[in-house]
Amino acid sequence: MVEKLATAKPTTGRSEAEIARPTLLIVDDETAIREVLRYLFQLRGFAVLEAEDGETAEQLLRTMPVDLVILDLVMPGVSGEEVLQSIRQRPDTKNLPVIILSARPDADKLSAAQLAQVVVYKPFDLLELEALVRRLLAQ
Amino acid sequence: MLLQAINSRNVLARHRSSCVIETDPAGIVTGANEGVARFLGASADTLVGRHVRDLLAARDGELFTLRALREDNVYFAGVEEIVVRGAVHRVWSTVSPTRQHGGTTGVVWTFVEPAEAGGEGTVTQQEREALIGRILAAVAHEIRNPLAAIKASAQLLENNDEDDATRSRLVSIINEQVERVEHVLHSFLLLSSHSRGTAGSVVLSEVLDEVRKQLHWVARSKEIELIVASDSDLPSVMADRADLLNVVVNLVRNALQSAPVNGRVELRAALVGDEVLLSVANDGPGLFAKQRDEMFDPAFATDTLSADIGLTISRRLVANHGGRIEVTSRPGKGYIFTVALPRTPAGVA
Repeated sequence: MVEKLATAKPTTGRSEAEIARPTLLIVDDETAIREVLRYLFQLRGFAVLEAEDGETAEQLLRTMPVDLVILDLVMPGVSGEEVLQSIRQRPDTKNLPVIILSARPDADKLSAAQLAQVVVYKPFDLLELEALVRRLLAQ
Repeated sequence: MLLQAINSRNVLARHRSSCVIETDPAGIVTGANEGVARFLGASADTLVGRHVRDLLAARDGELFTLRALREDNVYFAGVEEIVVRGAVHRVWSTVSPTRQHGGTTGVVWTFVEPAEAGGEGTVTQQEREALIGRILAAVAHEIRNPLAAIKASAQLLENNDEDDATRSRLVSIINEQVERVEHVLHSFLLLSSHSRGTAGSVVLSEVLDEVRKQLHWVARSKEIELIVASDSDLPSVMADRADLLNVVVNLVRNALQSAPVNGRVELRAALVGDEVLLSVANDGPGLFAKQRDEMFDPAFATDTLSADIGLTISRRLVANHGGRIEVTSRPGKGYIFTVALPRTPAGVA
């Protein structure tokens, strides 16, 4: 089930079932990308949070437990790079695995790339992305 | 914020070929460069301490600078006609509010006469190659997002794990995104045809319909409401149709890109006096720092190639067809671009 900000429960600890079910935060202003990733990861048993912009992502990260972030860079308002910097600055999220998912051909050369675990370019292979998510969560 | 970061004295020194005036919030000149002194035929030192309206006036209406001082946190860029010692000068103006510690400290007004702003002939081969590179990078970026959605949807469908409703939605995503790619390509191909510069009588309602056709998929993909409206008795304007279409497509595309999901972009055309005003407004965060930097850096007035191809074309259109373009932006409340074009004179088909 997709948990949107408006209906999100406050983060006051997680049940065993929730711990066993990793939560992904997908941050992308492209509705279709978020939708397809949500279908995939929910089908595979993940909990999925979505943010259509950087500001919503930062709000979700402050209020919801998240195990991994899939992050677009180019978004209106607060950019993906700013979200990533905020993640690395906060003690509770500084080690959170982050996958940059970008259409920018120079994404790996941006300073943000140094703060993320990996950069994946659009268009991407869905199964490779899933394998990458699982690998990062297992580390 | 650009003008928070730069040292104003450096601005005055850097742009010797432009006219740069700084004022305090009341409009009193606090600095002027040598360009202004030459333009006004006075020593720069004698300008400081005088009100800007005592030095320069708009031929019609109000100087952008005075509007910027009156309307808090609004940016202007466009052509205005100013009167100096009885002579009318048509200049490119950019006006930016300056701020310090969150408060407004005045404005910086930069202007240059179009003859100094350069034209096609001043573009070097290196600049052309850089422009082509930027256009190709923009095409790649615009296409990679829909391609990613198409590829991922197709891979999900291949797995055959989804219920009927999900499968149906995935097929819809593929169709929507394919059409989006098609429109992106069409839009960028149009960009390459902008340079004919053949002015004719253009029916604006047709241009607006074309813009809607090209961009409604982009709006839909971001769940943005795209409103296109015009006066029913809108007269035609004198312009190159392809140029005009490119200007509006680019302005609307930019507005869509910076509007929030579930936001709104409005394209409106109305007759005001002898001008037809085409306005593009969104409810996004206002102009991003990068856009502001490019548009409101005083260098913009003399830069023959803006980083934004749409603005480059807009400038040429304005210069060629006697129109003007301006933008107002308020952080958190979106922006409004306005292109003003003279209506087709009576008797011109």
